[in-house]
Amino acid sequence: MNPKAYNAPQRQSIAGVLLIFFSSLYKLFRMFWALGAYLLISGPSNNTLIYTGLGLLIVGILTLIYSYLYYRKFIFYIDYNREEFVLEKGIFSTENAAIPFDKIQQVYFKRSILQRIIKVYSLVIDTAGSNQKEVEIKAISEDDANNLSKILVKAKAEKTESVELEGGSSESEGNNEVFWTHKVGILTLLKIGISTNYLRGLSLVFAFVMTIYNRINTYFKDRMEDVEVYFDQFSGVLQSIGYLAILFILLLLLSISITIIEVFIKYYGLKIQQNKDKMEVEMGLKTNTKVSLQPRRLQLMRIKTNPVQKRFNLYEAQISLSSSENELQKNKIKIQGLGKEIVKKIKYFLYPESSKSSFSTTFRPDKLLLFRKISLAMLPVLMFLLLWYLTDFINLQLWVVLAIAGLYIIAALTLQILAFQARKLIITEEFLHKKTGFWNRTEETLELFKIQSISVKQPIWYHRKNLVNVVFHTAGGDLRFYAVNTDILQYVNYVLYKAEVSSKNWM
Amino acid sequence: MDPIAKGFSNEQIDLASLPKYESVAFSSVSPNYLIKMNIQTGIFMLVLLIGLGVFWFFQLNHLQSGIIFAVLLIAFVFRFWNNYKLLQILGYAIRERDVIYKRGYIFSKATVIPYNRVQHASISRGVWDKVLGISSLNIFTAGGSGSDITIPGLEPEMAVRLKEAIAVKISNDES
Repeated sequence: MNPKAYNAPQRQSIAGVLLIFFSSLYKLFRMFWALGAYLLISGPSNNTLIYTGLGLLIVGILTLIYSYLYYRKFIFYIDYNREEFVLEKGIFSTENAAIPFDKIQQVYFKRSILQRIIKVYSLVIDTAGSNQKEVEIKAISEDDANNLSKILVKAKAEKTESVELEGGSSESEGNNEVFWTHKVGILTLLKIGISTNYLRGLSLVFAFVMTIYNRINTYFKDRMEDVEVYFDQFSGVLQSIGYLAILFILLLLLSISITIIEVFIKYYGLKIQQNKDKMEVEMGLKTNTKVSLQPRRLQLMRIKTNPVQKRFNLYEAQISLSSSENELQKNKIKIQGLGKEIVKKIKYFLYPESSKSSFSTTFRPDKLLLFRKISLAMLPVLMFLLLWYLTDFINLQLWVVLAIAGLYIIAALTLQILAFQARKLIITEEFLHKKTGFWNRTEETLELFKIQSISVKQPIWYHRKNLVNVVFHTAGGDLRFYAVNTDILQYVNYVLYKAEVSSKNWM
Repeated sequence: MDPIAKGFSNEQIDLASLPKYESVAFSSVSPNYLIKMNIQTGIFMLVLLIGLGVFWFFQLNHLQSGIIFAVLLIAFVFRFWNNYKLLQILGYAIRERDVIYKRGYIFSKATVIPYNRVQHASISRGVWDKVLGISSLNIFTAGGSGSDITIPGLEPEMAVRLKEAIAVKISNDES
């Protein structure tokens, strides 16, 4: 095979014209089929039919011309000097993309039925990041597809070889000696089931009951008279508070058992095992998930707990990984039921350098954020009052309304203030820690050099108070911190410095 | 690659002496981009006005259509003024190790992307871009859509030059 193959601009296989033609026709059809159906149903005269036919013919010819032009304008080649793959396309709006070899994550083929019929392949070149960023050549002959993918894979391998070797050597050195193993038993799973999101379980059950109630209601609507008597008795019973309480407890028990079952299915047999250079997590009853964590792939880590769980010594870890090898692999894993010491061990494994830091600065948001959160929290009460005042949808007496509104306001205010006080961002020499939540406490940790980019936002009304919103973008999600003083900007510069000076691979 | 990362040393870093992204001199984009934004706003306005006209013809009385017309007018005067402001604020800067792009007047936003985090760059041109002789430069990272930037309103040669420059920086960083 010629080593410099595909260095001259290439077009797709000529059959590609057909593919473009049919797919554009299909798109047009999808856009206008309703119009066509309307025309047919309305009983057109012969004249209109002839004109429509003519119009369709013209559209067809135009599409054919468009397809040909699109085919002519669709050019790709490999630039060996720059070591990148170049693709140009588009008639009216053009796009010119260049992908460096070492950024290519994978190259693969795809085939639809139409592509099968005209004997072409779709060649997809994947880069890290979301799906929209991939490059696709839709019509390429089998030979070309094979050759091109071979060349690209080879070029990528050569380009990333040096990096891989470093990582590879240390991996082969490390034998499979197990440092420690952590297993989660049935009792812990039970504890998790009881203490986690029973509110969500409750709302689930509530929604379920409501739908059933609605179903029955609509079903019986036309036979209302028959059941009216029964309903009278029923509502009489309903009003007794004792019955309501029993119902509530039953629902709560049901929701807790549902959560317990859910937890068992998800986390049964949870086992964490650490070797020299990787950590393996295994869990699941029905589908057994097995993930190996390498510090290199880690992007963002979240530790969650609430006071109840803390008492039980239960923490939840959410770990975002960069998944380059396999797009299908889940790149966010949730591990529950971890004790404090285990969390510490995991942290120590993933962030070995976390102990030393020459400085540590804490930022808190401005009061402006509190005002915004409170005013948002007040919206429901406003809605409620309006509904009560303007319509007779809510049928209550004045003092009841005031009591409900007052209770809600007091609860919302305290919750917001407490949550606001808990919110902080800590910047140390190597890490960012964001702590949020009064009840559900979350701590997010980000190693500084793992950022992808940083955005600093400033709405116009922040100017006077010298505030900014900062967003740290990573490959595993964003870390945002709002309404913070502009003093943080020097730390933004520091984080950038950390990312730019680092020769470590971020994935 | 760079003096601090090479031989390992761990001196304390004086935060105040780090280069500041916010005090960089920004290059602005072609004024043709303002024309593009205004054309797009204008087309949108035309569509709305035609819609209003049709509606007025069938449904509304003079007072109602007058009020809607006034609101529309104010909204669009604001849009045009905002377009003008947007162009004034819009700017990019190429530093040795990162690219900075800032935009927005009411919601101003600056994004900094280090070159060693760029996945790839591409140039795109829409129909109006072609008519007005400008193009956009897209820079992609692995950090999701919020992390990517599109610098519009560049002169085509400039866009190509920027793209090549970034491509060189990306590969330099890797080796």
